[in-house]
Amino acid sequence: MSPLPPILPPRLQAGQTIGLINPSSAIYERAPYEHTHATLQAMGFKVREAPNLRARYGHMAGTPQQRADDIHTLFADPEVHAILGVTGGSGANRVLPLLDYELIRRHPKALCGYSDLTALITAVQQKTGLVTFHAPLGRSQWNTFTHANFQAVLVEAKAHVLRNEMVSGQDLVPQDGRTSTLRAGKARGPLLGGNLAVLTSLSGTPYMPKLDGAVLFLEDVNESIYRVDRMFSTLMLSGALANLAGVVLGGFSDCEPNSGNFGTLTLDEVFDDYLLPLKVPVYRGAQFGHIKHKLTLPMGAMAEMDADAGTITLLQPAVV
Amino acid sequence: MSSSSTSLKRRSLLAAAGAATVLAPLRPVLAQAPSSRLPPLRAPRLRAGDTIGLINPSAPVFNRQPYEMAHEALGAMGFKVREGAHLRERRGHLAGTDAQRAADVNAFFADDGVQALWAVGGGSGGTRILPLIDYELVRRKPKVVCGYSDMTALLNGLHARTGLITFHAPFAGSEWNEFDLHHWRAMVRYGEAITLRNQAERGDALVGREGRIRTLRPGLARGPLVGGNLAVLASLVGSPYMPATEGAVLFIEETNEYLYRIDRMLATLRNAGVFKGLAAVVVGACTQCTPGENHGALALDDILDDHLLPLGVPVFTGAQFGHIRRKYTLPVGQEVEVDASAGSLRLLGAAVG
Repeated sequence: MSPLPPILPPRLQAGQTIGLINPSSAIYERAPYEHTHATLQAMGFKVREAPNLRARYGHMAGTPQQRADDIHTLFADPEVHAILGVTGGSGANRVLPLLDYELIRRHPKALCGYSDLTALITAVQQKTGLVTFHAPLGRSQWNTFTHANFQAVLVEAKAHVLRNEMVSGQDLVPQDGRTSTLRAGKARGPLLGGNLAVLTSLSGTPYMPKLDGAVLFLEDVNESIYRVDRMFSTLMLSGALANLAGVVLGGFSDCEPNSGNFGTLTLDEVFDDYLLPLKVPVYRGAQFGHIKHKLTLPMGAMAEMDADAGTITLLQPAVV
Repeated sequence: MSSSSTSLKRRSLLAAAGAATVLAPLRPVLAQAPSSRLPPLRAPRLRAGDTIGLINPSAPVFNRQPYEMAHEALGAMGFKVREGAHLRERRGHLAGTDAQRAADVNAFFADDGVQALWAVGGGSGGTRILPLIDYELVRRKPKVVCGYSDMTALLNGLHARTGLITFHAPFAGSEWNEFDLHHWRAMVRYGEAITLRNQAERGDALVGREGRIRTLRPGLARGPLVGGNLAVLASLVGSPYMPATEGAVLFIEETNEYLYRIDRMLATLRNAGVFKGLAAVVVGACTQCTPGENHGALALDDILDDHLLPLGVPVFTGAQFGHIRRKYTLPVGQEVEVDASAGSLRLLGAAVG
């Protein structure tokens, strides 16, 4: 949790302008931009692209300075009401030391994204106190569930209950959207987390929040299980897990045994190894991450998680 | 230079001081600020007839051959070999439970009949056992510890918590070619303050490719060595097992990582302040570090330039260590002088007592 007093950004209203950034990887095709514009317009927003949005530097969307400039430009622009990443990828860590956190603190706006944007939304939360949003990216699929949850948190300003959508279809027992309880119970604390690999890469830096008392939420994609294991060990060794209030695990898509090995722990075993000794409520399978249905999670907002019900309840609206 | 008599005196003093605490329960070191650098602690140099304890702090070795290689290679070097009690255990991708792997390390440090600990293989999982090591015991009974790759965790963790100079060296089960053996033996067996330098190989080519170094920024610099595998080192950042790096010579190698990940690991080191005050950087092999499937990636050269040139200190790449055939041994914690133009590292003293 940021040592600074929490700042809630203003809620979003139809007709307002959302500014687009790419603080991580470049996008090479035009379609994701077209998709992002059309989606946000369908939601009733105007759209403004940051000046360097379509720049490229290797795998990144421009040099670190260009990407930092874009963030500054949109925070400073009074006609931009919220800021959304178009895509993730990698490279946001490089931008963090170049940011003017004082400028951001003076112009609080909803800053949204996930995956590699974990670095940005975590650092901004930590260095300014601003509540930021682990939310779909512009290029994500904005299905009814994803859209409704974004609206509830950012537009309707509800003290929303974040709950999976269970889709049973014609199955006897629904498979999609199931949660499983690793340790029962309820816990309260500020929500913090995001992509495990990216959060872990902040370890030991001034952008890593203290997680004492926090409800930590984690997801990942396309990491071999031994890497997931090593990432948890980094959090363990640095003391980040020691005083958590609770843990919520989201999608861990394509996190499989690496090829060429003769045996690996399962994800269940890795989670059990690190999280059961903490003696705090834990559940797995919450709908966020690199999966179709995405909840919007406000970073730094107080919430209560229920590991039996598989829910996260915001204790107050995350926007004003 | 530390003479063997002062080193012996120190050892017996420490042994006397430690006798009372020998039965103290294992207490994991919880997160705390990384201590400032401890004075270097040198293990006694190895002698013919000494016993090497084999450990697997990371992944299991699934086939028998690496064990046979380890026994035969260490035997050919003149050592006796003993296997850790849980050496051949398996738990998923780990060579036994954390408690079993740590117990093997602690048991060999405690055992006066064992003079060195040597990993058979790497893999992953070394970080998990760091809180379970009895560092007080290690301080009392400093021993030679060898390995690389995932052993980076134990090599640096031991050094950070005790000051012990550890050895980034081939695995016991590695191929031991003449180059590897020469450097290891001169440093660990005879305590020579040698100079580490590539063996360039031209073959019948007009210009040789293997063993070339490249100077990113020329110059001479001195400092204690810290480093190893970049991914594993980066996974220690923010923990009390990451050695102090102010004034240090950082050495890194990597294998089988996408370039964007290497970029992120270096960003982690940079953002955590690890680069602040470094004396020099030496980059070893980066094998199978590829762009992956995408429309554009920075080249490794670009990434190293971006992160290392702004430091304004001597840097060279292509040093012969890492996941390659010829590997010299690097003593973690030992003061060295880097010559980035010549591509060499000169030890400024013996790495063993």
